[in-house]
Amino acid sequence: MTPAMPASEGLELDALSDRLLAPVFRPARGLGWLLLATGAGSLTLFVAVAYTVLVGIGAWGNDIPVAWAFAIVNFVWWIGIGHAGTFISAILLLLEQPWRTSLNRIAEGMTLFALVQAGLMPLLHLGRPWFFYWLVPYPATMRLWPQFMSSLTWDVAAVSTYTIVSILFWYLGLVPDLAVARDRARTLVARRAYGVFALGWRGSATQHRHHRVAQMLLAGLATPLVLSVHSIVSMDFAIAKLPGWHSTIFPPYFVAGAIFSGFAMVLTLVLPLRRAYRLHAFIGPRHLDAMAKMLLCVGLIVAYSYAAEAFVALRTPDPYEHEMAAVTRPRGPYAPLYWLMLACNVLVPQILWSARARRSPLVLWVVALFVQIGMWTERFVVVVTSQHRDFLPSSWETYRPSLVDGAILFGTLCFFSFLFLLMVRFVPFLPIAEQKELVHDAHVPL
Amino acid sequence: MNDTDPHLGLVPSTSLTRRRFLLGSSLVALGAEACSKPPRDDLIPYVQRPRDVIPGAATFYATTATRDAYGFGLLVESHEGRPTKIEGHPEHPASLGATGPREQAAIYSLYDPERAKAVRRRGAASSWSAFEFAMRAKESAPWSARGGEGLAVLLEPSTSLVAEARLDALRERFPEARVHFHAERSAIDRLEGARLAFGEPFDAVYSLDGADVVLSLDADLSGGGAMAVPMARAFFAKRRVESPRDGLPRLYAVETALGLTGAAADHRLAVPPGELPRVARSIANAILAALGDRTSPLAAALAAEASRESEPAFVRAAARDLVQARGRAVVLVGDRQPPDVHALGHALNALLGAFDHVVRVTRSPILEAGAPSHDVRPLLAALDAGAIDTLCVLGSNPGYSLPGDARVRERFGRAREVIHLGEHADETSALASWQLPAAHFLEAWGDARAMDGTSSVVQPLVVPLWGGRTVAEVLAALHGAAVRDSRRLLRDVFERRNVDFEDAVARGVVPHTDTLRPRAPSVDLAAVAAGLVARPSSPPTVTLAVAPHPVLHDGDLANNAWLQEMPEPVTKLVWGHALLVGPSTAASLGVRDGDAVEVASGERAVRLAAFVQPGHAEGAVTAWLGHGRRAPSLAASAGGADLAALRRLDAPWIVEPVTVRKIAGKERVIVTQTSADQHGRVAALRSTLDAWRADPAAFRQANEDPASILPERLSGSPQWGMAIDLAACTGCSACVVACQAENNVPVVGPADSALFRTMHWLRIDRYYGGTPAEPEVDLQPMLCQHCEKAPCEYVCPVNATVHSPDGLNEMVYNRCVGTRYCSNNCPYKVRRFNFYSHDDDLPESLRMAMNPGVTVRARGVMEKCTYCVQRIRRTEIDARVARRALRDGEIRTACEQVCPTEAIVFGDVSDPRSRVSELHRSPRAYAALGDVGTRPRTRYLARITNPGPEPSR
Repeated sequence: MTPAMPASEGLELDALSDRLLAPVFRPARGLGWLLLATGAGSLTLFVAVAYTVLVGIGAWGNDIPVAWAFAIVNFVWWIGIGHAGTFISAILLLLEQPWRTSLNRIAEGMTLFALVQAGLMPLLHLGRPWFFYWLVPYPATMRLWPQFMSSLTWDVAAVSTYTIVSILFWYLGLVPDLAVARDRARTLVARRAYGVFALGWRGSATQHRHHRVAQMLLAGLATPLVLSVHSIVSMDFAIAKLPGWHSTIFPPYFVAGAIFSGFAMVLTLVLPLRRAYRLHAFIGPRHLDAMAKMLLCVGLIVAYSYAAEAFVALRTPDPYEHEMAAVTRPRGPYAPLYWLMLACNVLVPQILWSARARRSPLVLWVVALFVQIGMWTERFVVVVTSQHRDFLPSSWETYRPSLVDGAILFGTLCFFSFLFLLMVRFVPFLPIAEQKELVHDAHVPL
Repeated sequence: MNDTDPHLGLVPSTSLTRRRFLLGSSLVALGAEACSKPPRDDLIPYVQRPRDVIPGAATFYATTATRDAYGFGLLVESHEGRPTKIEGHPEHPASLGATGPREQAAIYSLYDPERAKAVRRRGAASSWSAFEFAMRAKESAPWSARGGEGLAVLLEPSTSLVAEARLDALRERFPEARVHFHAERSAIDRLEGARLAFGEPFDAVYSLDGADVVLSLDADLSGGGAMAVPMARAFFAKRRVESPRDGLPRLYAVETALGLTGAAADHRLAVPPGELPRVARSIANAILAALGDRTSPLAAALAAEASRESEPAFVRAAARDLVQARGRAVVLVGDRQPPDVHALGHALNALLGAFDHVVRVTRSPILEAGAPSHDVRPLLAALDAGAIDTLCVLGSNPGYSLPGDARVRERFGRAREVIHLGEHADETSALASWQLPAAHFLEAWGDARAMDGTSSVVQPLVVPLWGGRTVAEVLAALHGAAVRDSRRLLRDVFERRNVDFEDAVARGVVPHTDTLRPRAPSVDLAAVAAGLVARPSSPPTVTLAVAPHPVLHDGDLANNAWLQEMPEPVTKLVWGHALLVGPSTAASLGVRDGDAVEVASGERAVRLAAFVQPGHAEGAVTAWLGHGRRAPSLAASAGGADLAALRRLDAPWIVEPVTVRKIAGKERVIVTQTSADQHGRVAALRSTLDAWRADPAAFRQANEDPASILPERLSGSPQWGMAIDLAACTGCSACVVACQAENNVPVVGPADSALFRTMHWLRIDRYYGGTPAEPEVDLQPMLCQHCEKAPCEYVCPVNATVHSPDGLNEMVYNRCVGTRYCSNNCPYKVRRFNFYSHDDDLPESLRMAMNPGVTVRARGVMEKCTYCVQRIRRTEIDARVARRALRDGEIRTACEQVCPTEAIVFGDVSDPRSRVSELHRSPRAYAALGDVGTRPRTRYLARITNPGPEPSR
């Protein structure tokens, strides 16, 4: 089916493989130190988690009325970050956007590692985390089922589905590359290790064809998840009666926010990587430009969501929702965070209208950082600000995070970086097979 | 320890084991019949069940607590010999079946792990027999040979006949011994005032059901006073209007800090404490003028004093209303007022025709009432003179509570021996050479008399857990009494008065023993006029008003964690006190809540946290007693400052002039509610009578019921519901502690209280309307509303909160995983989360306070009010066993049962004839946050106030 490759072509692809495998076989200097630092930072997470499980939720700053706080903020933030990965690998694959090829491995890895952090949060957040499985519909001998009217049960289903699909998707794309690594590994241990995970990939045309079909199928499966998972996460809030949560705009608003923060995270990770490994040939200005445009576009959707939410709340006859939008958020005790959120998420991205800014890695990276901060703040505003002043003024109290709350947030950042750096160290983070496919396709007239 | 227990012949140990506890308790299961025999001295293993004890079934015993020495009848619930819950005694005139917070919290005090647990001699472990021996030995009790010369006994005021008998015996044996009574909250000024007015130290009892206009001069209508329950019940019953056509009584209140009486008042005047007597005279002057009396000595004396023009509107209106309601008007004077104000109050009541139906008097049942023995100053002088060899301090804690100029530490040091009997190792026991553990009243035999003279029995519910003894028993040891057993002495005392002892013990209250006179002796107006003390016109400085803590009193209850964590009803302060400052004084000082301030009087100064209190009189600041404890204890953990340094014996409640200034730093202020504005929401509704008459359907409009997609599923009978009448709620917070005691609600401590993690299932919300200078106070008990469309239920992922067929919103603790979503979705925020395991590090003794009918909740689960489901089911089972239907009012929730004003009513809302249904149909009934669509089963009845045309309130 495929026309025979010219010999020179084979050589060129061979060099490409070497080039792309270089970060694995000749790891960058300093990577070990970074791994050590982030690994040590991850320990704060484990210590904080162990302490919380031992002592109770009292270790955190949560109170009544603010029964949900940092853990839920972190959960929504991390799971939102994951969404960009899926968006890049699945939706852009289906839309046949070739520029995604340089980014999809990084994005999918990011999804996976963000999901690890996100998944930890609701589990840890339970008063009695050892009974987490009661939220799962399993045939218990007491014939007790979860209560399916609660969005938390939907959440469990959505997040676990998402996790499984994300792992499969990431791993499936990795198989041919692991085989290349296996074939070129210089030590027996590495050969064996890559060999096991390569699942006996031989690179035959049939295998490639099956691989492609499987990837397209998984992409088809993952695409609705991009929309559904964060929609369901948003319903954790939207089905409640709480002013500030009880809003029909939440699903699309949360999905846009998720992709927004996810793209920001991809930029945050890719730009330093590009510089460290001199990947300018693979991640060129075109890629940066595309990413920046995505960021700007999704950012505008997020800005629209803010405007729509506030508009509806200010026009509603519901006095509680009105006060939340008109007083509590813009002028309450957490007002600085509200304005910080608007500045980071609405104001800062507008710089990306400039083509020069879009192609400047430094500008992009700074913008991405602002967006990350802004999106975390947005979740804080949604979760905490809404709870701290709801219906009865007698129960209006503020919330202050404890040291443990801070340690958990810091710890997840470290643990995420640690896992990401492990990926950078041990697997080809630019997809070799797909890059070769691109080169190949470029040489073969259709 | 090697002495024997006087009650049982047991060898007590300092550590309380379950076995010892049960063995002991089985002997104290004294029902009416069991009382016919004295407790046996042998041990019975619990496998042989005592006759009156059915394991699992609660038994109730009648006993008596005291409030400022006066008796307060109780029924105590006991499980297998373990007292767990206190209720009021319906037949006792001071209780009427209700209690205040302090009686509810007595269970904690009984099991307080920090109680004094052994006799100590100069800090070393000793024993009761060693103490008794020492009291008989010549060298250690030299006064015994000299007729008691050199022996001084300092007691708390008492109304006990047993104590009286013991004191008589002591005086007989040691005629030279000195006996003194002292308490910080004492009746001494009140009785002195009565003596001025009547010539004798009378106690006055007020029946406010006959009063249409009440003027309170710093009086406490709803707090912890001896007769607060009957007064509050009668007054607030008349405020519960059923239709706009009814009238309701009007309350005028003069006070310094905003209190519950002021909060309930239709007109309130805030004045510095030194100004209050002047206001009283202005009002008296106006009343006399209105009555046309311008010539009597009283009128002349009052007119001589130029009335100040700052409060004419209030004074005019109060005087006018009091005179108009002649015969149905009454003046109440607070205990902290000087004698002449009390006397003036009696004179006004006489002029207004209040005696004999609204006010009745009796000779005070307080021992040696009006006698010089109630003044502690001669004792201090005797100590100074070195005339006291042995000072015996029984029950009180003068080392902490006496003002600084009493120089207690120094003076007590002059006695060779200081004997202290107390429930705790406190500031006084630190000065004592003999430290004796006192028995809690639930461990003691004795008696007390109510203010109207009614006698009641103090009966033990358990053997003394730590071998404590009563005051009467220590007095017996002092004089080597022949009858040592308090129970026998009580029996003798009662039989001498022809009281059937067994019947008295079984009933608790001795019937027909009140001594109220049918006709009061006339008030000697000339004597009242002559007694008026001229007060210098107050200099324009700041006065410090010292007040007993509204919950912890003078600090005798400061070691009670339930009370420390009970929000003070007005300020909502827990675990500490503060300097209460009026809004404009605060502005001029530049202080905000929690700023450190220094209050100085001359050389002496204390550091306190500032707390801006709306409605506080300007020109004065208030601080409460009970804090700044030196003895290491739970009380000390509440922090604060000891005011003794500033106080003086001759004017214990007023320190003037003082200077108040802001100093660097912050002091801890913990409040459980920080937002005071209702933001126009349907929370605690109120209206004036006139406004309600203009719009009788005003509260109905709050009952709109939005459509719901949740299924209608409640049908059948019964359907439980509740009604809370805000017109009757005084905010006294007895229900808060009753709920805590009944439902094993944990204490979280100061650190977690500051993080808004208190666990109370029932809280009292306090809102301010009006202006900061003249706030309108709304108080609203808030507990689970048992919504028919409960928002908590549909968000729980594990079905841990569900609805019962009879309309209860139930919490399934073992199913709860602690997502806390239910709390987020609860519009009333009445759900409480166990952030920690509160039970794990609970001392063994406090575990015995647990109600066995209620699950102790684990860490990580949510909890909330159950409408006392254990009481509902218990009563249902009893009814089913007896094959009868439930009666309305048979099931009473803990909060309902304890409420002094019967503001809470629980019952079957599916029965149209039930009391709760009737209240739900009231034109004042509304659903809190009814517009949210939760359809709550608890309905509130809006408060109607009755301000006059002037001054505008």
